[in-house]
Amino acid sequence: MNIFNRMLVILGILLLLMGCSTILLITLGMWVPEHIMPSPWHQIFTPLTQLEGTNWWSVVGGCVGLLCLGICLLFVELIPRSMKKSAVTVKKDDLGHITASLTSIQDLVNREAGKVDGVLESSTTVKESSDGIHLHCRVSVTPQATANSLGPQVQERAKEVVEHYLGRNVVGIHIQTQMAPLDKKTRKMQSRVH
Amino acid sequence: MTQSISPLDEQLIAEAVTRSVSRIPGAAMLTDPEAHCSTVGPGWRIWGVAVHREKGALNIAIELAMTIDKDSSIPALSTRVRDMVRAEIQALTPEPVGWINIRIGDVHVTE
Repeated sequence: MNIFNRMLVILGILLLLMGCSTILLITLGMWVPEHIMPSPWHQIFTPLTQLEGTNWWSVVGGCVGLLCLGICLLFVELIPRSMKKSAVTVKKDDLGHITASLTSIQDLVNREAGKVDGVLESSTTVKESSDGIHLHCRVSVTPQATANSLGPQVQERAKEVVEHYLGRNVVGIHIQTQMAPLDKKTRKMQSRVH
Repeated sequence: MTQSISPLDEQLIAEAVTRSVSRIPGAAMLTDPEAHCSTVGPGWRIWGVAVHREKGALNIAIELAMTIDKDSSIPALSTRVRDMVRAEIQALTPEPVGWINIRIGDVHVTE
């Protein structure tokens, strides 16, 4: 949703909240329509002041429900969208910052994991936190491979390659092995250089 | 004397950036459309390079592919690229160079 659509939604929610609040306050007798509205309009709202029994409860209940819904929607709309990071910061100083795209690190780890005997293919997710980098590797292995020996090898290689070449601390590597092929969307790993 | 800045100047600077990158072993400009899009920020763009002026300084964003061996690293090579680009631009124009941001889009490791 673009910014214009979001503004329209927020405006709609605000109008809904204002309308519900007005009807609720008039129904509860806290506002008198003649005092807050010009002549032709207060006649529309005057019947609300005369509601009794089930009708009164229906209007009050409906307004309270819509107010809660509106406040929830407004809250959801106003929460800033979590921006998914597409790169890891390698170095940052006064001269600028150096970042590496997540896909480049993923490819780097996948290539390294693929060098371990028994690994057929690998799919890696990279996350950056304040204390370092977290890797989650899913590896498809041959039936002869044993997860006990293969997992630590992949962990060691992945940690070494990221820490050595990227210069960032790897604080967590989670390895998940499976014999079935990975159902990942294969990214073209062709050269993108001149 | 005032100096007017035309878009062509920024194009020349971007070309100087690509020229200096091409002279660094292990660094290369990216060529696919991702490079064009990912070099964020305002200014004039060429494949993988964005140049813009802010507060009288030239700011540059570059997207690169790197081929590194076991004796090298991304921070080391990036710093070298940044130094080379800075030197190249300072040889071309007296304008001060602000920040040079480098985004690594692709990494290859050689034995």
